[in-house]
Amino acid sequence: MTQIWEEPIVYTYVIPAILLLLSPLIGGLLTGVDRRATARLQNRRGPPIIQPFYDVFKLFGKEDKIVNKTYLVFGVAYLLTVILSTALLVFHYDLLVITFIFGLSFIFLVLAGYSVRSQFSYVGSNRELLQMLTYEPILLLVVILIRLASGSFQMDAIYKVGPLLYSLPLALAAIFLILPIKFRKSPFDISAAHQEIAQGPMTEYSGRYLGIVETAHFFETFFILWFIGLFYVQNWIVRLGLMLIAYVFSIVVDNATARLRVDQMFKQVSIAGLALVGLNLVYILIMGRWIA
Amino acid sequence: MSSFTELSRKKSPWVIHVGTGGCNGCDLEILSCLTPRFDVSRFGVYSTGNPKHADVMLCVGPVTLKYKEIITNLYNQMPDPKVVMAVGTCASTGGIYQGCYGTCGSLDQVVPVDVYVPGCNVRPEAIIDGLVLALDILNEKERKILEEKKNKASGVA
Repeated sequence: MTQIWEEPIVYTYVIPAILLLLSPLIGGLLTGVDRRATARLQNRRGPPIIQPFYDVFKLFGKEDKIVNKTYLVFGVAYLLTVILSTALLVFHYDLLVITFIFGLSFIFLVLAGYSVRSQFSYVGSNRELLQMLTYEPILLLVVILIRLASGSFQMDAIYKVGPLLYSLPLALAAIFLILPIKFRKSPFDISAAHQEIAQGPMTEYSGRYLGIVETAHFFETFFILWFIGLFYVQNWIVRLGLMLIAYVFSIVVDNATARLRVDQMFKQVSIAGLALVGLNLVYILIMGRWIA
Repeated sequence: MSSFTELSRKKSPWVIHVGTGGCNGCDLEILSCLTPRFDVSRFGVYSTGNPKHADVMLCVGPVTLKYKEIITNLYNQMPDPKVVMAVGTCASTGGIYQGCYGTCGSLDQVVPVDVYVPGCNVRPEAIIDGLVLALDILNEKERKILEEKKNKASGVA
């Protein structure tokens, strides 16, 4: 007697499809919770939790001020690649491919920033590129460590070995370190530092296309948290708890720190992240927790 | 669907704050709207520094001659529907700068103004009242734009 969610077809196709459909909703609600929690930490009331959806729907009802066609294409490409990487993640595809496609989405945003003639956009794109240069090697090395610990880049292999949390605790710490970069939050909200450079690469977007970029951010939020969930796939409660801890961590750090300069971020995060990943590599090599 | 868009428009006014050369008294009152005591963000107000993302322009101070061009530029960059609020006596009528050689008199000499919030300096409560008025005007304007588009389309056909 098997339960319905243990049927292979439900497990491999139906549940991931539902997750993919729900992911913008989840990401949007999480963004709303974040704004509310930030307001509460500052002793304000804060907007309602569904505020991000109000914002996006309002943007879809506004006029588009179009500067050129190139950056519209890049904006849509950004959304599509983020959706593609989220889909590949929930449908258990190759982890390496997922990481590269997720990186590609950032490249599209950078290109969108470069394709218009606004200085804010240029500066924002430059900073975005430097942020990529900081987090991408660490993310890639973490994926390689996951490969070492589970024996394959295929995500199904993660389900067959023990919890990754026990073999890769320091790699998880490295992911936590780059978390504010991916969420675009303080202390690493350098590319969209709205007090200095308007909205960075998003400066020239307006109306519907800004709505598209905002929707892509919802998918991104979901993607990152789901990726963190991979570190404990054996138990749903622990897995969701891990995601919750990561999100609370990012909100608290966002409110407790000031923005760094881009060169400070590059030095500190690169050194700390690579050190954590390196130590973890030594750990799994010594403990023999790796599969060739 | 359109009613939900109208609801969202009412729920998320993004604001650009423009100071046009006054005494900064009203600027400080706008900032105090964002503090925990008055917290306009509970109505979904979000302060952007970017005219392309904004719905509402809060203008403060009498428009100096040098600022005239900048403010028309900012107004033209805002996507429709948009609302301009003249915050403070100076922006509404010229105030103590009325007739001064360096100013345009008041904001409505430069861009069309929808809401006037008088006061020297304005109370944050008055600014919030003005914002609430502005939200209704946003939807009215959008309806007008849509109607014009419809008329144009039927005229061509």
